[in-house]
Amino acid sequence: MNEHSSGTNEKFMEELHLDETGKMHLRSVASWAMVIVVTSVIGYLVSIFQALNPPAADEYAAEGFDKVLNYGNSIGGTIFYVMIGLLVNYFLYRFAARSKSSIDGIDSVSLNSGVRSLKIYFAITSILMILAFLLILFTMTIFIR
Amino acid sequence: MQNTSLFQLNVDANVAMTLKSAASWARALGVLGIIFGVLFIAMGFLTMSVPTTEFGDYESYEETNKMARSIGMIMFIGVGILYILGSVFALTFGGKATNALRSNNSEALRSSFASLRNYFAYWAVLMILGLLLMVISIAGTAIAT
Repeated sequence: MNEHSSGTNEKFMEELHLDETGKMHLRSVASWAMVIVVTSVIGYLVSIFQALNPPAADEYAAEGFDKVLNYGNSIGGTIFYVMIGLLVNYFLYRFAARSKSSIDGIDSVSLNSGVRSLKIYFAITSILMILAFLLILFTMTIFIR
Repeated sequence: MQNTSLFQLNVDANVAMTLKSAASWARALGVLGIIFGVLFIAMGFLTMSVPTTEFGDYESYEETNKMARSIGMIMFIGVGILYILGSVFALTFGGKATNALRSNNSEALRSSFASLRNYFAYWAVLMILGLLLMVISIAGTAIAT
């Protein structure tokens, strides 16, 4: 089993590698991932600002709904959304940082750590999408009724 | 040849195993994203099928309701198409990475990272546009009040 495993390892060491172009692609992936992280964090800050400074209720007063409509975000909901977003983006940040350091140091251990973070990022995003999917189906059922 | 390999980033068995798992999650995310996109498009068409009285009982609002429903439909369909396009990149990355690992093909691995770069670049550009729209809407509200 060990011999087989070490044989597989050697095979990978010999055959699978990232050359200069591959490293350039990976560096580009890490840069775009970092752009997503920075944009998301700015978005969360804007959301928190909006939640802390809700528009006055009478701005939305409409005929028949005198001063009762308020479309501002709730603080609780915003905090929940920001916390989940930060968790997801933490893994994306780790992927970007580790991938860059693996390219700079030609270090497979950092690359492994980076790819593991990418896997967790994809897994969390997929699970969140399943939950959102179920929520939409639930809403659609109510809407159709 | 020996010198070249010194500057190559080797994908050992551990990295390959983690990457395989990440690719599986990417494919799952891609499939979910496509389903999500189709669901959004369906919701867009559903918005148009709802009778106008569901949105308001006043006959004078009928024209406004029709316009609101059309805008709603366009938005839902637009978001659906954007989701499908983004998910195709995730699906492509997952497929190419899996094939590269299965065939020990460095060229295919490089191509999979190019797809991953496209995936992140696509979402990064959309997120920047979204953030800009958010800031413009906040500024517009602030100026109007």
